[in-house]
Amino acid sequence: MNYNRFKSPLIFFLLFSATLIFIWFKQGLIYGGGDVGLQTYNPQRTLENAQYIWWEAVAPGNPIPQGLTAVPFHFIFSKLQLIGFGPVLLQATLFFLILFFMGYGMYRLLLSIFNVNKFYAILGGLFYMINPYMMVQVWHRFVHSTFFLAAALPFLVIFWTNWIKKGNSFSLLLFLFTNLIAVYLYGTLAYLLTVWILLFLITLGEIIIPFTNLKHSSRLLVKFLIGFILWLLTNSWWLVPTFSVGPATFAQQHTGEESLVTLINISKQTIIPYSLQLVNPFYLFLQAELGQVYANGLMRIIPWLSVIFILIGLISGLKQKKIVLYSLIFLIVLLFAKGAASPFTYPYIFGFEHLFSLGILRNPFEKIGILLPFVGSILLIAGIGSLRTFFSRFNRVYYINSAIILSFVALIIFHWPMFISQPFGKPNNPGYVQVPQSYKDTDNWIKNEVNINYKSNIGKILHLPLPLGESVSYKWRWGYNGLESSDLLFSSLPSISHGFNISRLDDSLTALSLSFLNFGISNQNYILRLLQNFNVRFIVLHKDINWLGGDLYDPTLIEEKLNQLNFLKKSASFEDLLVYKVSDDNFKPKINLTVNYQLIYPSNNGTFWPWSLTNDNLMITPSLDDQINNDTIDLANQVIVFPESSFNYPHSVFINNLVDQIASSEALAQSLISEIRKVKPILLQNGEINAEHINDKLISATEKMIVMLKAKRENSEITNSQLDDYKMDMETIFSQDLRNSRLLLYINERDMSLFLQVHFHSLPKLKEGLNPNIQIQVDGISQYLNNQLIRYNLIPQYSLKLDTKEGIDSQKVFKFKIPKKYQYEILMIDIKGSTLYPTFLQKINLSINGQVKELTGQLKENVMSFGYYEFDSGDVEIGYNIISSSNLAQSFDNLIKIGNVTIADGVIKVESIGGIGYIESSIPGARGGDVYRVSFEVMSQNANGFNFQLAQDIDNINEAGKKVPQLNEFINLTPNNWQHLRFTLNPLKLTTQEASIRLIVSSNPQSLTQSAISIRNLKIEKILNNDIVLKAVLNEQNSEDDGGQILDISQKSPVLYHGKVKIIKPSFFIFSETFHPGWKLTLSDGHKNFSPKEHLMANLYGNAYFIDQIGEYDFILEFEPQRLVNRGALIAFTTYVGLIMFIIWRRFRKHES
Amino acid sequence: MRVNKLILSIIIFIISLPIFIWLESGFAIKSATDFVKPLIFSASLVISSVRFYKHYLLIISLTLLFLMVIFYLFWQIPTADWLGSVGIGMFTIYIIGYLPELIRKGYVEKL
Repeated sequence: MNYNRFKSPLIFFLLFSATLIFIWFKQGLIYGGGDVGLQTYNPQRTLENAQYIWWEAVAPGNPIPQGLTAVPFHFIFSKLQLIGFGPVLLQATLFFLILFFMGYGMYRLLLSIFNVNKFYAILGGLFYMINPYMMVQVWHRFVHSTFFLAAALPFLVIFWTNWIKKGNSFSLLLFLFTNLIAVYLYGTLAYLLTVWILLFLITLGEIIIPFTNLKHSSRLLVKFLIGFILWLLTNSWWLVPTFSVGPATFAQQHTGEESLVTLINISKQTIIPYSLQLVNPFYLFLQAELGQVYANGLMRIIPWLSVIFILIGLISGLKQKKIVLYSLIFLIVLLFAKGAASPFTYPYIFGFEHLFSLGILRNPFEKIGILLPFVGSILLIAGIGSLRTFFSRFNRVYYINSAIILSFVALIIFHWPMFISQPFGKPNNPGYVQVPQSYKDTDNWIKNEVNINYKSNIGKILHLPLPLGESVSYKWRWGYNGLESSDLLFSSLPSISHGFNISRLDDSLTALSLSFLNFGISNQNYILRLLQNFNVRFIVLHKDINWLGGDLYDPTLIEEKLNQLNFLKKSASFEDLLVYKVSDDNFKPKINLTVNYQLIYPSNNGTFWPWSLTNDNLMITPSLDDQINNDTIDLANQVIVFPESSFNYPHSVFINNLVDQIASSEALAQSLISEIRKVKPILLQNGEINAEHINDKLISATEKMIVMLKAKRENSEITNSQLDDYKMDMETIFSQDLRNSRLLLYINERDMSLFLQVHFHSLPKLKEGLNPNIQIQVDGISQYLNNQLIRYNLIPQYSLKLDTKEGIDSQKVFKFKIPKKYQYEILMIDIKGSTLYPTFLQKINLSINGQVKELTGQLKENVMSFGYYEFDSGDVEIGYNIISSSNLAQSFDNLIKIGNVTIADGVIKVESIGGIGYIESSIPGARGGDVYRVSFEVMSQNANGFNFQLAQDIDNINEAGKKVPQLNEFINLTPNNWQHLRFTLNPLKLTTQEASIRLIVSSNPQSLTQSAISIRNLKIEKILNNDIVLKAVLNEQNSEDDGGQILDISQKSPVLYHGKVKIIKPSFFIFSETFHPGWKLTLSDGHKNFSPKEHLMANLYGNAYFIDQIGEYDFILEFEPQRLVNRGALIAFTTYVGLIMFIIWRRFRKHES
Repeated sequence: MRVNKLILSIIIFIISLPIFIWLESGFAIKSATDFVKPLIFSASLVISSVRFYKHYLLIISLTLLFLMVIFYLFWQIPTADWLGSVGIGMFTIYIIGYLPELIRKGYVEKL
């Protein structure tokens, strides 16, 4: 071995990497936030969490099987942590190793591919480390799995190529070991495809370029299969759990259509001009996160210098046996990485439409694009080599040498953040993180409390305000924006600290979070019940959280409430963190038994939570797949049924009138089409292919209907083929699940119902006077349309024959699935503000399965009871007219007035002064979830239009310190013409406590004439939008709620509990972790083992097992998918040992022969 | 012989055109401009099958890529995108034209 060949480049890359690390970490601070949070902050804690599929620390628990890939890396770094490495040193060490292996690995790869001067191999290594893709998409993006991929790729290719070409088993072993050490890269599952696409292309290239003979090809294919199978076996410890447990979770978090929309929108940024120069325009130009300098002309030229070398290398590489493969791979990778951008746009879209799992590639530039700089580095050196050869013919090598040096200098200038500061954050916000000492102090205090007082039955920490997404923003010394990381910062107990993007679980967490806002001191037992159901022991209030602009509320508001709750005691305070403890008497352990229970059938949309309707008993929800046992229903205290679905739709009387007008007026007909058409540009812009397709068909069908109505009006013939074409359009509209279509994000359900009902009610008008055959055809279409509209909840199954008074044009319908025939109480919930409505809502007409009932209500706390009604099991439909409240707009004197605002004869005139003038009316009693309708007449004087704003207390504050309303629409006006406007607003954000409406006119401050608008008849009305719920009380509560006793519990690990239980009555065994069918309870009386037949959802998120056999049992509660990890580890270990023994044996035999 | 080559070229063009239309837009043709790229690609495929004219394909595609850079530098991104996508498409077809030689010899003897 020529040692000298390797020594100086090794030292070069060590020094170069060390220099960069010194520059990046000179402040002595760590970097964090973004999608990964604080990855290297506490490897020991991450290791504790990641070695199990079930992450108990992220309460109330969730399976994260791909977290297993973090184990090897965190195992090694936890040892460094033990010997005294702090967070800064840990992160610096990681980044140093990544940089070094990237550069040195590419250097070794280049030497292995072709005979190249050491100097050029070093250049190739440098280019691989320092290029636009690495700076932005790897370092700035800060996804740690990408770091590992970038570092491991060169070694994976070296070892794989040696195995494929030479059959070197030792290289295969090194390939597998590299995978083991760098397995963290597979934390991003898409990188499975990235790595194996590359390895497959390399192998395929060896087979067919050139194609020698079948024997040689078969041998290579066999090697590929052996390598792949051994890779599967040695990675089975995380692969099998991930693909067994993961898919159900992934399907709940993303839909196929969402992935397609993401792909299309991201592909607008990965067009060829950007992909070819390895640039992500979103971060570099649009957001300018690394500085505005990248918009400069010179900076925009620099990346193209390397592209020239790469293209020359690609073309010249076609003529060189050793490089031709990489030329082809570069082109293939470019076509993959650009996603659905042209050329050859459609295959990606086709794949996404037909294969859900392809959704992991919804950002192909991020997932596959890393292969571009990888292969590009090889072609860059090939290109340099070709140019040198070309110029050397003319003795002009110094030209190309100069060009190379200048290009690399320009490259270094382009990547200045990597050399001057750091590439992670923004120039004015470096992405530093300094976790306040108060977090450690709080965690130590809780740990101490737990050790002293709560060795068993430890409970959880609830962090308030509770972010419902996965990210959070804190006002720390250097700020923090990124993944909520309480599971790392608090190792004392599991933390309920963020949502999971799983609707049933997030719905329950929302209820837990908002209980502190919605319930007062007088009904604090509801808050207590929620805390007990979630097994909360401590509450940590974060006063350092950035709460504006999202779904959070003001922590100081909650602090006042927490201080008043009887069952909580403020126990400690560390700077911005306050710790409250649930009193021991009121704490409920994680595992307990209960006899009394109630059955809850929750809604899918979760706009209201059952806690204020239910009693103290356990809530049982039948699981999605199983039908609950009839006996189990009968033994419940009560059954509460929420609507399975609900929807608003325009009243049919209103529609019939509209259809009559459309049938007689061409202008109105065109106006209807314009309404449908106006959404199209937005759909196109947002890449909503499927929604756009449905919208196109709706336009087409509406145009056809209008033509047919016109023909009818003019007594012309309507042909069979016209009706056939029309029906085809309708069938396309309904060919996919319209209710879950993304089109409903752009056209609200009421308007969609209106458009389709116009069709439905137009058909009978067409039918009159037609020949019998055509009439039969029209009937068929009518029947089809009726069925589809009912199926997709756009019209009720039973016609609502409710009286329609003036002002009522819509109705709300609730569809229930009744589990069993009982006498149910009809309740209208969340009745705050009932006095605003006619009769204070105490008299209401409800349509029950098409029959109108005039009911009298009785107010019970926050609920209006409309009496009892017997319902059979099956489907039930209840509806009411959507009525509006009295006018809530403030009187003129109480309006906030800016500018010159006057009133005369009921007309308010708003004139801008200094460029702005507005009126603002607060909405009294506004609360989260409320729906308001705002109507007024407006006329412009010198104004092109005005701004209509909805201001809420939770609106974010911009850098200038001003609140930014989430709704701010500019409305165009024609001058001197009264226009009547009406807006039905979206429901207020759930955390809203105050809201107001603003009408703003603005003008150029320098202008001589100031803009003005006149307003009259301003109305703000609350729209009745409350849910209807059905409740049946079945049995008296059993006075003895304890069905037995938990005699002993021992938690062996986050996935295993042992204990002893005594059952004295049939009871539910409750386990307060997130419901998952993988949690298996096994009971043993010493002679036989058995498992409860029913495993149901408890308290709308947890686990409940019904045990009906009396006796004393040992129990094991185990998350069974963890066994897959243990088995997989055994298989992997056996495979490694087997391979090592095979290699030793072969060496021994070779030595002997 | 020339007639045979002409017929073959026409056949290649006719067969490849719907394939390129599907690759570009999945047969969802919204306007006449949706035909332009598939037509260019089909023509490129025909050219790449004729040895004599093949190198023009390389020259045209590289010229288009060069123009892409110019328009990109002047912030004419949609035009740069169009030029770049046509250029890369033609370049890809040019490379595909060498596949038989690559499979046979393992490299291209003469570009």
